[in-house]
Amino acid sequence: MTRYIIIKLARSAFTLWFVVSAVFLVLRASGDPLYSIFSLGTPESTLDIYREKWGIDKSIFEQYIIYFQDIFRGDFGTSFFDARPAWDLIVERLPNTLLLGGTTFVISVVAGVSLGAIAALMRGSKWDRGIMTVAVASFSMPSYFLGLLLILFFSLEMRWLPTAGAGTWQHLILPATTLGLTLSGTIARFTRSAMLEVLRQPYMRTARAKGASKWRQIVWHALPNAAIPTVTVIGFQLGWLIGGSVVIETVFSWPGAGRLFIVAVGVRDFAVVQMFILMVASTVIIANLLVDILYGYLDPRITITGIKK
Amino acid sequence: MIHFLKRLQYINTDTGNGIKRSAKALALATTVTVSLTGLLFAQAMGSAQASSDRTDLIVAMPTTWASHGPVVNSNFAARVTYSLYDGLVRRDWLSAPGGDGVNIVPALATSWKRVSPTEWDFSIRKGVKFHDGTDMTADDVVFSLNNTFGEGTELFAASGTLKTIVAKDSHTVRITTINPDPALLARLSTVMGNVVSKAYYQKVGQDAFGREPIGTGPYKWAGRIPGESVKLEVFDDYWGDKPPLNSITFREVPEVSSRIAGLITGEYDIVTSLPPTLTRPIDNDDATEIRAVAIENVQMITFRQYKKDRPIADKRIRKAMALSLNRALLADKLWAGMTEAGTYDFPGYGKYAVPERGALPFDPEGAKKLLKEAGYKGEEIRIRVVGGYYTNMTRAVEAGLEMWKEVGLNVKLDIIENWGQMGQEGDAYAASDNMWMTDPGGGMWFSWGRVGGHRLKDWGGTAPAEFLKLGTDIEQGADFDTRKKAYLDLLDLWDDLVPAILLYRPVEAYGVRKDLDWKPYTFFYMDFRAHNIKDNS
Amino acid sequence: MTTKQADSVMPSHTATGVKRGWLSATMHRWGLSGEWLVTAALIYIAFILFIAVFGFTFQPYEHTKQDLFNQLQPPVFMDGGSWDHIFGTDDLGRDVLSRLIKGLQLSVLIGVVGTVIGAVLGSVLGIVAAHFRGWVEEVLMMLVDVQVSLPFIIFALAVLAFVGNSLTVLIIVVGIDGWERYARLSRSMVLSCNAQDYVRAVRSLGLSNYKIYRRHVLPNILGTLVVQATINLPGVILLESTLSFLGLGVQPPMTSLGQILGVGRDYLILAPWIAVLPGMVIFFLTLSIAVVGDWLRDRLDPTLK
Repeated sequence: MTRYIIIKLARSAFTLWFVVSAVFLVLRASGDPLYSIFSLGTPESTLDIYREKWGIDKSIFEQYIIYFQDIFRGDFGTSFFDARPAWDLIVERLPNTLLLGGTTFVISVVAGVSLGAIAALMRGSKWDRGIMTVAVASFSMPSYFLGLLLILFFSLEMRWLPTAGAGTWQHLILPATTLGLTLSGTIARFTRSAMLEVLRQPYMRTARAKGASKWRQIVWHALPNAAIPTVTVIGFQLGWLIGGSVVIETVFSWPGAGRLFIVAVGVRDFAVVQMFILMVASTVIIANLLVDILYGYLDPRITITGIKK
Repeated sequence: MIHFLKRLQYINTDTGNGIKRSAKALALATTVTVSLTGLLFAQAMGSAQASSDRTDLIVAMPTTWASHGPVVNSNFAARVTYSLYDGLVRRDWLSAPGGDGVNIVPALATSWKRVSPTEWDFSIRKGVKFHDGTDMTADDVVFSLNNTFGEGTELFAASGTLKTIVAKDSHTVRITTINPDPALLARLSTVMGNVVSKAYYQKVGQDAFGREPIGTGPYKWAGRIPGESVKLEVFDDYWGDKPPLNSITFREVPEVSSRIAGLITGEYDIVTSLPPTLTRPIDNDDATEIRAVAIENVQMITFRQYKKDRPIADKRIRKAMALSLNRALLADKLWAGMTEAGTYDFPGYGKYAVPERGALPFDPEGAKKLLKEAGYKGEEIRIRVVGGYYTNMTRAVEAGLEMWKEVGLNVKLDIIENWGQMGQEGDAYAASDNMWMTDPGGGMWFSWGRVGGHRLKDWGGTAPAEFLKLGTDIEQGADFDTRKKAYLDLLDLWDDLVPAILLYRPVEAYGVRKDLDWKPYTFFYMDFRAHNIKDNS
Repeated sequence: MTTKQADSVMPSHTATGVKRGWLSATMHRWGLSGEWLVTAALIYIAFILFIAVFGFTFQPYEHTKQDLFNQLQPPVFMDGGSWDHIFGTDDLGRDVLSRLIKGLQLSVLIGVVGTVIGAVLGSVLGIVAAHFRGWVEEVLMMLVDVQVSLPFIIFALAVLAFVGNSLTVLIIVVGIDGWERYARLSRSMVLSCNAQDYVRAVRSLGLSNYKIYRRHVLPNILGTLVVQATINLPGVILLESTLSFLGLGVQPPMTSLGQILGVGRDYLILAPWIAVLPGMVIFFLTLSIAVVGDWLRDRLDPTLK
């Protein structure tokens, strides 16, 4: 098992290195970032000062070496645009992103699991069909479009919720709902099939034979068992959640790391783009690694090389 | 298999009803929870509406800028810094009804005297305090004017006529120009004249200064939350009239629809950067209205005429493209009739302006004739546009493609993502130019003629000799008649050479709460000094 | 296996002994008894495909044709609308219906070509990995890890914003989305296929690898791959539309549903028809494909989840 974990770790490290290097190359493959940041009237001599200051006057290979040396020293580069360490910029905005992501997660899990369970329990009924159709519909709608429609209805028309921005918990409702709808659809589908599987198991019969109440059967015996496969699926949705929040943060002017990334892409702010991608990739990789290792313990059929048969 | 089916049936029939009942209860519980939460929202929205003497103003704009140093390059920063800094002199925009007045009035200088053709003495106002409480002196003025782009960099290109700036005593500054400079006051009223605290600037350095700027303006820096907002607070020791607002928050709202919705719902007092064709919902609302101005900027399609093997190297083809583009129609339809076909002649040039001269006409027949003369055979002409950078630019060029097709011009549009990708490809590219200052020495001459001008490369390095001669006459001309004649000749020369198709002056449309007395100026600056804002609510 | 049983047993109750109309009869013949939603989805998809392919024959105007004197005209079913422009006009006075038809064409093209690229690329890599095993397989699985570690929209944004944009680049980027799913799928399926006795048997008979894969392996895994492609397709269409929303997708004068939606969103309050119509078309299209994909999966290949 130790060997299995070491191989997994090595592969994760390789993956991270590959992502970071590929991004580094892509960013430097085109054009000069200075023209996106300074106005056209700025004299070239001034631009040269900044080129030297930011180290983009060197060859790509030199920049690459320096970049990795810096990373190992804990320096993730300085934002061209903000003239501050990229690390500070992103970490500063993480609480907002985590708040939105966390709320979305809670909403989606509550809504997804309960709706999925209801659908499974009432299999074949109108409720089942209705819920499953809504679940499919929820990820057929472009999320940014849904977000705008929600703003127009709940903010402009009904005047219930603020249109955009952050600050109070009311600001959180629309973006979290928009983002959570898609996720809860996915979770509902998985919960339903997991639940159906569980309901077929012998222990459910045992529970009934023991005379447990219907509620107890469901909440005590069925749901927890259905939750195990569902939770692993939720783990894999993490990357999706991050990607989705990049778009939703723009629509709702939510001051999170995703919006920072979009702005940084627009002004070609190398350090911030790299730092963000590095962070997202490591988060997803670590999450997947944990799931893998957990599986390794739970399921002895997995071979040493980590390839599932 | 039969065993399995039995089990399935067992679940579906035997316990089916019981489980279905439980499921219904679960559904009910979910519904109740959701509706309760909904009720809570509604309650919370009803409460909490604080009020104070002086207004806390909220301005929504597409984005905020990171750096707010004295010389800024983004309109989003310029809107903020206008409240942070003062210069020696100030342009009194309200001296004309359209918010485009050109009078120069005293600011940090109380008076000035031209002691020789090239020497000016400015008396510095006494008792002016910086936001950190220190006194402003002649030293600060000298330092600020000498280091417009930060210490050690050259003078801002627009001030390229300045030779030396020295303090004669603690409250007198002498500016010496290289040649006689009739436009010196106009020059000093631009951002390059902004005064910063020398001691603070030298202590923290350029980058940190941009993050926490200190000036003498009516509002002081109160912080930026990246991605969310920039905030200014009233500066009670301001040397001028008492600033009427308690604070100003510039909030980032990238979506146009969100800005409009937020203004109508009362979350924002002013919203900026609205496409003029989209303003009807705001005008239809009782409490809000649109205040729009054509700003002192001209959008254009600039030719890379140095590419000698391309059709656009021929001035007849360039002119044909300008003649066949119905710019008056574009100005009318894309900007809701609030602007007109563009020229390099701005009303802001005051007595030099010649609005009656007008722009190149719309003349498709003339264009066809020129194309025939030039022997144009339908060679492709590619225009590069940075998508979403200039309001309406993509739409204008899309509309243009159809108009050029009518006269047989084969024009293609390349949309790129950002300026870094602009490079040297294509035959022409979308750009814009500011008027820069209230004098014909700015604008066309500043960009296309004088040393350091950023369009020089489109000529192929330097402007034609005749262009240079006329420009120098404008810049250094001894009297009004010489300068005006040179200016008129330069406009004619431009219409002959057509280095760029001038589209129109873009319109800046603000949505404003109706009971707010506030007037937009014909540039991006937003003035919240006492003479331009009053909250009647 | 299990689900199939349940599906084929249950509908037969409703199907027998009831008088059926023409539609139900047809549905029954196609194995769609009782599947009203799937039928509706199939009809909608057929309709969309028909418009994408033949739409140009009845497209009323050219999609770039503008009439600046006739901007933002409402659709015929709203006040002030006229039959000249059934779905109204946009901010440049262009006919919304014509733009929808043209945009649909490109969206479907990008969706289908993108999906095919991803499916072919992924499947081939998966088969190669399964055939050679060893380090080839390891490298492939590492690439899969790389792809999984980065949310695709972020990868696409970085590539398009920095490398630049053209229709070809866009289709390739959109196509790369999801390749790793096909790769994993085809790899594991080929592995189990190769382990089957009859494949071993034909191999021992000396049949060439190419022939074995073409005649014996591919036909076995093709169905599953096609189902996977159907499940992926809505995601590809949504990806294109999201990129266009962020200004990085299809660029004018070309147009796609996502691009119309992206530009039209500014007009949501003033002229909602510009954005709502393409929004609805995208919504129902992805919904229909998803519904059909689910149905196909349940019927043909319950092993896919």
